[in-house]
Amino acid sequence: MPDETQTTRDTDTIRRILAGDVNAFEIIIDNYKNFIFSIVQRHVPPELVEDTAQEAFIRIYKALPGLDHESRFRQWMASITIRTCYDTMRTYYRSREISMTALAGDGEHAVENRLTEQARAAFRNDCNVNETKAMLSRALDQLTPENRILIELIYLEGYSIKEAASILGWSTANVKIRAYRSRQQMNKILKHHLEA
Amino acid sequence: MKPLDDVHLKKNLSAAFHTRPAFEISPLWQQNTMRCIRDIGPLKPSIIPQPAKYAFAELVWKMAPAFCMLLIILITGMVSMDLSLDTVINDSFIEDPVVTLYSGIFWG
Repeated sequence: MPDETQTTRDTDTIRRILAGDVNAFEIIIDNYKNFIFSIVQRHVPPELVEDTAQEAFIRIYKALPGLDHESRFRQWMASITIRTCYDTMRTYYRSREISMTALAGDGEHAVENRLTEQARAAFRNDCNVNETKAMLSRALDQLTPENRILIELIYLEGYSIKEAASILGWSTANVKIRAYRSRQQMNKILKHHLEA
Repeated sequence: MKPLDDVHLKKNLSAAFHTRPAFEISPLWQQNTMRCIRDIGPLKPSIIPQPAKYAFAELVWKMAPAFCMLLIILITGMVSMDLSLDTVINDSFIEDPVVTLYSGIFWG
């Protein structure tokens, strides 16, 4: 929970930015970059973290005039950041699909074999936490971006259906249906990994 | 039992999801971000999203001249067709109103 002093400071900074002081936004970046990076790091691959965090801050800046409750600034920023991560992952999945389908049949199998071999080697060498991490990462990679963000928000971060719907700007019914499907898909993938 | 129903596994997965290595933010990242923000410039009223009621009022005022023109054209048309109330009432009592109306329009 943000303390009252921080909220007052944020309110002052936001007013300065809205009054045209662009440089005041650096105070927001200074105060919240660790918070934003911690969110981004959980949802996107390491090579995309900096770009996604930058995009999130740009979106936050552009959306500042629409901020209703300055006391909920932190949650509001988290919501924008998660949406930015979701958009990044959608683009990332699309480009990844193209690069994989662009490979010839044999090449594709070679990459798959290599990936599997790397994962097996990692499983053999690493400790339990790393095994779980690798398995989770591989399982999440097999989900669609929509299913992935829901599994991350609802099952791994513990948000409620209503909160996830509010963060993503989707209807509650849509989130409920998608969450059910993503859970089924994730169960199937995890089962496959655990049996392997 | 399904994997996500296994409390222990779910706990492990959640812990693995939250355990991330410390991320080193490159020194230029903040400068680049601020450069992008400065490129956008101060938040002008056009960037500020208006509430729905203001957007509707703005639309109404934008469409007002077109509505006025349409109204003037309709009134002019009705006057030129001589569709006064008296004529319509008289016609409805004396002759077939449909025939009278159309004969008035086409043959004056």
